[in-house]
Amino acid sequence: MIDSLLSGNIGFVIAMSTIITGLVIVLSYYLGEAIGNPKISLWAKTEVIQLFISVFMVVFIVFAIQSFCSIDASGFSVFMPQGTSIPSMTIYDAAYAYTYSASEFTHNSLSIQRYYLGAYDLLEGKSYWNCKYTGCDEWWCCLFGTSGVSTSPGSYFQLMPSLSVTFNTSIFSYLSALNYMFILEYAYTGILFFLLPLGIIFRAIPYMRHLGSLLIAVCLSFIIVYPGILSIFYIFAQASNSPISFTGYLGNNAKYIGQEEYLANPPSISEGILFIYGRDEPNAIALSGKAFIIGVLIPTIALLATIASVKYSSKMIGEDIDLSRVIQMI
Amino acid sequence: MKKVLFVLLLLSISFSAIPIPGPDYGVPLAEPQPSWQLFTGYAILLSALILIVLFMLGTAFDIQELKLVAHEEMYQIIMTMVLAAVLVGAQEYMSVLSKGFLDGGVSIQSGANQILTVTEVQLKIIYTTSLMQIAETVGNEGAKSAFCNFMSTGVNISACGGYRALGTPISTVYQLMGVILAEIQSMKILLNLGTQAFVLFIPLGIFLRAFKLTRGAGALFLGFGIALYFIFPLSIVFVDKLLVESYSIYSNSNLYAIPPQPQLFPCDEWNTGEGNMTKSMDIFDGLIPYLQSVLSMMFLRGIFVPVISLMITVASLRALTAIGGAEIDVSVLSKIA
Repeated sequence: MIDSLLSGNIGFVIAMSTIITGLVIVLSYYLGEAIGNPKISLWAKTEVIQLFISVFMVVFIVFAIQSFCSIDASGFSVFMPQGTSIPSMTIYDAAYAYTYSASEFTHNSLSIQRYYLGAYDLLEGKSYWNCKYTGCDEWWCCLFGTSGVSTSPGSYFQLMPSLSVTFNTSIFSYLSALNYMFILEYAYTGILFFLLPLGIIFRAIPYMRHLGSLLIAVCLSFIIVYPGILSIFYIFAQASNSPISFTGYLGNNAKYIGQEEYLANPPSISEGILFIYGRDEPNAIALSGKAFIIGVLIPTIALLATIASVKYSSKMIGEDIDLSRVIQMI
Repeated sequence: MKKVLFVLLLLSISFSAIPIPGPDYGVPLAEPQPSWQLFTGYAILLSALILIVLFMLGTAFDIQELKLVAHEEMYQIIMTMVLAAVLVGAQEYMSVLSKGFLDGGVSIQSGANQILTVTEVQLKIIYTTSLMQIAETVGNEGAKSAFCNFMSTGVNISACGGYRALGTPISTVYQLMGVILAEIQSMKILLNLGTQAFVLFIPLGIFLRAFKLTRGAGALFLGFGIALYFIFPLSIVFVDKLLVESYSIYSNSNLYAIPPQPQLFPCDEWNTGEGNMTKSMDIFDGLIPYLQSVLSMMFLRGIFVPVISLMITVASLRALTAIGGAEIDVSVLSKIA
């Protein structure tokens, strides 16, 4: 668990960096007094307050992490419509469950649309050669060599490229959902905690306060704000009648999930066999819209809030840092 | 002063609004069941309690900075209470406005949902019936060919080539329709999410904006809550009503009407004369007004209304987060929109 990381080596490094920074400040103060340099003494007095602010921030982050590990997401069902059942899990688990479920849903959307496109391909390629034709529809007409009529009853599927367009949207949504899941996994590895001791040290070094406050703010935002917002959307997704439910596949299309192998060896190439559960293109297309909201828009909102939090936190504990370049990277 | 006058003008408009009838597919929108006002009250009380505790700590340990921060933040709570009161008023105003604008006095959110559903259902009907029949005829008839063989000497007859030329506009319309159906679904999800999320976003936003450290996140929640619950449905209803009315005056036709299917003729694969060409030209003549109606419905109700509504919503989001206390750069969302 993420909280156990803090009690291990990282906690020790944070404590050591705080002590070392404190020692440097104290030594600087006495050095200033010894050589009679009021500038050094003044710097040491200022940095003591800054050190306390840094320690307060670290304590706040630890407190928030402990809270996130102990708050049960199922408690939020009071905010939801009646009949909503939220599984019992921590906030961090709920955030991960969101990104995982979003990746799964967008992949299922891809799977359904891929099935349709595969079936279209098979039906488009099917053609008939009829040696009986208008003007000669008796059996003996077929005796005259290869005269006849060629028809392709499924060729009209090539005039319906709607699913090809939305398939691309689903791919984008799937990759986006995976991307946000990996960002969360990266945050959960605890690697960001190493920014805390660095932040404490840098905040006390002249001209480095910008960097120090940014490091602490990044840790705070990606460990607390980003999972916090994703978990809220996971809770919404569990609501009865939720528009972002991870199980709503709109009609019978859900039955085509993972059925691509069926297309490799179908019993016969006919519409009734390939679309055994019926054709419902409009709803298969509409899935892309849902996949986009679940896989792209909502995680982007979470990341936007995280970046906003980095900006305002770093402003509060240090000085304002221009993050417009980071926003452009999204 | 100008803004106040503009708001007063809007108020007067709301009372004189006339309902415009449209098709009803009976799609109620799930309203937030728990009371957001109650949760907002709890959030304000909780924030005030935390600040009071901070002020008491500051007084007990004589920490001037802490007292100052608690004092300063208490003003923010008062402003938040004003904001909450404005939201309650806005909700009441919306219900008055919806009675004027929409049939049956449904809420503005349900009205917006109905507008999107009507467009979605009509496009689905066109997709699966008339347009598909046209595609089937044009595609299958165009693929026909005949081969005449006698004593190993043969001739391939492709008499239905004229039908293949009709495929391109149909294919383009299907491409557009795919994008629009997906987009309308996204809009409906966003609208539903805004309605359901309001009950959590507003109290959470009010609680988070009470503290300096979380003001950015709080402002974002408040901004999203207000933008999705009030601005988004309102802009859909306004733009759609304006569009449908002006379209009916300008073109003397109804933007809600599903166009009739053009007459279709089968191809005679052996006929190398002008018969098939005339048939394909006749289909084309019927196809032009049909596609014009479908495209006007798709472009105006499927693209124009959603895009303008999204632009208004995203533009208002930045202003709303600024009112919430922390202006947030939402240019990324504009790009997505």
